[in-house]
Amino acid sequence: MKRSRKIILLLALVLVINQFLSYWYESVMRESSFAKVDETYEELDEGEHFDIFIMGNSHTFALLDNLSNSMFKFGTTGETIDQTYYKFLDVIENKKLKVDTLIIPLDINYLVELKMDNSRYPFFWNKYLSFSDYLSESNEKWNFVKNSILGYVVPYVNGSNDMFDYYFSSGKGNQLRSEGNVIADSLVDFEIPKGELDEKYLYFYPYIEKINEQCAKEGIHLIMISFPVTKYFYSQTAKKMDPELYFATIKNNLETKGLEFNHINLSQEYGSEKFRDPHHLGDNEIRFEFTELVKQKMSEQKSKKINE
Amino acid sequence: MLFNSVDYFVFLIVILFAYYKLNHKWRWLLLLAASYFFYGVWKVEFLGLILFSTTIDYLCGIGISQSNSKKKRKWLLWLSLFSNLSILYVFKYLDFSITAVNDIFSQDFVLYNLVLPMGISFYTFQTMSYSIDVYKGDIKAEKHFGYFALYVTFFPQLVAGPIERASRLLPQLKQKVEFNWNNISDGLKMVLIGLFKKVVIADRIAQLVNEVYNNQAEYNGAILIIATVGFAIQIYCDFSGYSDIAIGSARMLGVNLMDNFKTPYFSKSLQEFWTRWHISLSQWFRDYVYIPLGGSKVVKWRWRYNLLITFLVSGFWHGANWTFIVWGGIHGVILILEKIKVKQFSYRIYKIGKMLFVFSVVCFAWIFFRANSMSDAIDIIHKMMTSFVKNGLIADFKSTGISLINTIILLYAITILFVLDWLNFQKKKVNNEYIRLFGMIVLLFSILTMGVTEVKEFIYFQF
Repeated sequence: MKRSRKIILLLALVLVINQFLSYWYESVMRESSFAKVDETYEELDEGEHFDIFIMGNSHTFALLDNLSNSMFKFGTTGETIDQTYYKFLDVIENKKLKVDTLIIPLDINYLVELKMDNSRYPFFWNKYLSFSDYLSESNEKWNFVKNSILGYVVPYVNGSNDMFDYYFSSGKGNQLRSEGNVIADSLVDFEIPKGELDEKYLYFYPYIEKINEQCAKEGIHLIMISFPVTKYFYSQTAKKMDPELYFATIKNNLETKGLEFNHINLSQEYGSEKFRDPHHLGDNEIRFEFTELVKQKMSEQKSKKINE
Repeated sequence: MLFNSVDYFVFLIVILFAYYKLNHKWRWLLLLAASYFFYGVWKVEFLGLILFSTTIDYLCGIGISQSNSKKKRKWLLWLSLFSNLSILYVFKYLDFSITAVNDIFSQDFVLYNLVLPMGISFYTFQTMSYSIDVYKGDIKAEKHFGYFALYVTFFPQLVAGPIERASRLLPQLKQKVEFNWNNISDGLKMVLIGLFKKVVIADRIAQLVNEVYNNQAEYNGAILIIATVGFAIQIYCDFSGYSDIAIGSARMLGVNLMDNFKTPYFSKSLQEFWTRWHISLSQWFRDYVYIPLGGSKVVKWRWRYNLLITFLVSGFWHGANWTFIVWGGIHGVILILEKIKVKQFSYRIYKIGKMLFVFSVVCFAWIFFRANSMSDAIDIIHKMMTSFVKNGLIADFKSTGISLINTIILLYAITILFVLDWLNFQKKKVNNEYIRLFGMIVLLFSILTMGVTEVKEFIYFQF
């Protein structure tokens, strides 16, 4: 085979396969729970009203529709608080939705230091982010630009996990990623550390303030929920922090600035047998039960506030 | 700058384009500037160390070649060796020495905790070999400072080898190279194979190995054995992957670097293993430690002593830790034992048995190489022999947190690696161009879809 023909054939094959994989990946992702919620959001009418609006990571999937007759779940897998903030700005500035209560997660790894390099699903996130705003906030500017470009050219990079989840996991219809390994509590030798808090766990704390300030400005009641996780998940995540100190620090910081801290901590509510993977509750039955519990806690919090 | 980053490939494309556009007269300058940039991106302040080492060795080399006085020549050689070894000692072994003094004499001297300059063990060994070769009259001293500096810092092999001899590399750097598609495609193929080994296999299997070795107290024998075999695969894919990318990148610039790995895990003896694993370092120790000690041309006990010393020094070269010294010692002792003649059979099953035996010995030594401390290593070996499983093999494996998808990807990738290595081992070449093209495409898209995208350092950068 002539060299020039070989190069042309190679380039053509690479381009065709790349196009095919990109198309396949994006169409799968659009069909997946990850982007379904995004499509549903796009269909909302401007200025529509919701009693409850839920944002954040996949832990929020534990909340079912029995929480309220007028609610919208806008959480996505692996979402970090900085992304939540920019999505929230879209909700109030572009969609101009009317929201009474906003629920976001306050998990032990939700504010942890991460590279803001746009490496996860850049093709998806870009539409919610003001590119320049996000870039100026980024702690990894060069990587941010690079990953944004890669997100368009080869969106499926390292997409094997997403594909696997979609085609082979039980999470296909349940807005959950693959079933992981749930280690029985009895096999986890872990004690929650006392009196330790590494600053890296509060790295994204300023975004809580930003969301809180926006809520105060818009008259939205903000509730932060620590969603249930297994003891194993705790042992993997919280080795260098005392969760009580973590919550107390956030509370203190917010209250010093005159901002509200409405927190419902249900992180250790269930044993490992109720989970499908280390940080996601099991079937609809338990999630229904959990949603009822959240409803009850919210109502208790409301009455407490009225009494005060 | 790391080979497994997008930055490196942008850098490489720019350099390749400029290199072939530029007049040959100035190419050394381009490559030298590129090499300093490549290293400086990591820590610009350590460029001073490379420049210091380069200047001393350049001047010593010139001095040695111009002097007729044996005494002066020897003095200059010692100056070169002393300055290189001093740099290495301060950055790599000073804290180890202080700790040893503190332990032995119950002292409390403060450690310096110096950052180890990336690739210091490689470029100091490369420059030392130059000075020794000039002293022995094997090569002439390089008079052009630019070419000499490029020999020391040539970016494809600067931070983790192959450790090239001046007699091989310098003439190639000076040679005028015309653009050649064969060089580009051969180089690209090597780069793809190297990347596949690094990002699909090494970085993925590292998740299992790190989890188990960093929490070894929580795991029993079976998982520790799996993790040790995993580490054998990880370090092979990590380091030979690096070497493949280095060789491939240099090939695109028309430079042929030496092979550093030749399917080492198919070796039928430990002696053969060391002719296939980290070849450039093995040859360095052979030529500059083992042979000067007397090599094999001495009485038996002295020869065995030479072998053991060479491997202990090799272990110490890898790191200032007793675990590396024991690793070297194990290889030295087994090599000595191997020299005891036993009847050899030619049955295929016997040969496969020998391969498995050598692989097991190598894995056993890797335990010390990877363990975080001597006590961890001993604990791991003890558990391997006394308590095999905790809650059943599958449950134990699941408890490492390695997902099914990771396991499937690893099995897929290791199968491809096995096929590639077996073909290399059997010296079989795929001549059908369509199959070769298909192979490259499979590698490329495996890297894109299954590679671990978080850029991780190569293991040998720490040595």
